[in-house]
Amino acid sequence: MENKESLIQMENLKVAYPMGTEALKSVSISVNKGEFLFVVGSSGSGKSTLIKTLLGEIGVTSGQLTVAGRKLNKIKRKELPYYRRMLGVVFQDFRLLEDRNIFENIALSQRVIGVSHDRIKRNVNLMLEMVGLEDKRRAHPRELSGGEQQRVAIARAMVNRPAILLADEPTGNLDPQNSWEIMDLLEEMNQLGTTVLVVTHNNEIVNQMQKRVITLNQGMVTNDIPQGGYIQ
Amino acid sequence: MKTFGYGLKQGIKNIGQNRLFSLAAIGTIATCLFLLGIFYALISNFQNMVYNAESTVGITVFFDEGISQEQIDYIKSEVEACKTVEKVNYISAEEAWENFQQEMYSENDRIEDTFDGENPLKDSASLEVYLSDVSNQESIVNLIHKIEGVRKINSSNSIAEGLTSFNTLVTYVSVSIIILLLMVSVFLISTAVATGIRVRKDEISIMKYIGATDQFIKLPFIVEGIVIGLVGAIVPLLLLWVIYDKLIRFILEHFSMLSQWLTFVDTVEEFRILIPLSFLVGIGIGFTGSVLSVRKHLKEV
Repeated sequence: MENKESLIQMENLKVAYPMGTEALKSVSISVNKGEFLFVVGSSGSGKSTLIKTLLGEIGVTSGQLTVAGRKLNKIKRKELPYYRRMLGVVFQDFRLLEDRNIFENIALSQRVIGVSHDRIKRNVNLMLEMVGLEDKRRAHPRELSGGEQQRVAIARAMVNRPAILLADEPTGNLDPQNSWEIMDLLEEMNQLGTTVLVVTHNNEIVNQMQKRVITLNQGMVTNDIPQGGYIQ
Repeated sequence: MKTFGYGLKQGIKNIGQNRLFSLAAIGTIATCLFLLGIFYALISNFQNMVYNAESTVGITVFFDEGISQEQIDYIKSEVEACKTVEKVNYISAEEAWENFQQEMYSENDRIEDTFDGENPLKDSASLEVYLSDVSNQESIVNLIHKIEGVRKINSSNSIAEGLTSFNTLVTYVSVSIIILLLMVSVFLISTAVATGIRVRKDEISIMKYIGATDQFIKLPFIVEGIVIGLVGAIVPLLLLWVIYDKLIRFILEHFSMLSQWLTFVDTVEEFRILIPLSFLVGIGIGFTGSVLSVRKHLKEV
């Protein structure tokens, strides 16, 4: 039975790549609304596959994956964009559009869903203020530091107020100080009600934040600690 | 509407940002449409010349001796009722004799008196029949032969057949070349757009992650293709206009002795069809090329 508060529900989830490699083997995880959790594990443990599966980039081979009541096993290609609007995503390499300024990078998320010009302006300015980059709205990504670029990526992911924020190694390219600033920002987003799932290698951050930690090993959940540190 | 506005703006912006690809694509379409324009001008002018030549290839119908005017009128109306008969001229015996004298003798050298005022061609009244399509000449001749009161029909089958087969050959060759050019254009434009898509692969994948529909992603590329097609049509049209106009003037000025045969389509008349045709083909190629490559590459990204 699906928990009432459960936002993400995985039951015996199996995901295999077309060549036959099984990246996730019988994974069962339940994530509640408003939770902040880390997914850790060594390279090849299935962390990235988990993010890709949640994004609908890779199909479910067997088992069940339900996100906000939507069964991803049965989702059609044309329904994917509407499903993805419930999610915000942040990557290690920021993935900002180099030819557009910071305002336009964030505004793109709103344009995609057809928000009016005035509302885009208001919402983007609010997000810029939230991530502390209100004076950089006209700057281009290459003019910003890594930490600032990641803050723009978080603003772009959050501007549509998604239910879930997926962060794939968000501090992977950042120095410790910037890493902590990004984690503080993600925690702030979580406090605003967004469920945050962070895939990371950074044990220092995991250990210090004392959140729920799920450890993956060779495509299987080996640990699921409600509040704790990094276990390899 | 907001999405459309964004797609339009982004599509035009893309052209500027991918100047090299856009120029290559515009160059491709312009070259194809330039060649298409040349072939179209060749076909239309050749057909115009053939049409003019066809209108001089007539059938002459002679009547039985002593036939009455009522019977001649009846034959004329029967001939006029035949399909593809464009014009029928009645040449009376008097007109035939007058024409003969004009052609054969000078004004001072008339020979009417030789025949004591008698018309030696009194049984040579005839109908001159002109067809809109000389390929039908043989069947029309057979039909007229069956009309009562028709004695003899003069026609030149070899000229008619020659013109028809040459016209058909030119049309087939030109249409084949045009189809080939169009196929090459679609291939080249889709390659150009595909390259543009590969360059913007990251942008497309980001858009997908933030929930953009395929329609939203496609729109700027389709706008880009259409604008490229439009510009690719304007350039050769301007060039062709100048070249066509100057070439016709030059030929008519320097080869006036051939003016009876070289009957060109007027520049304005020629471009009345070529302009919409070029725009249609240019936009069509741009649209088809971008739709094909966007559809194919969207699945890959």
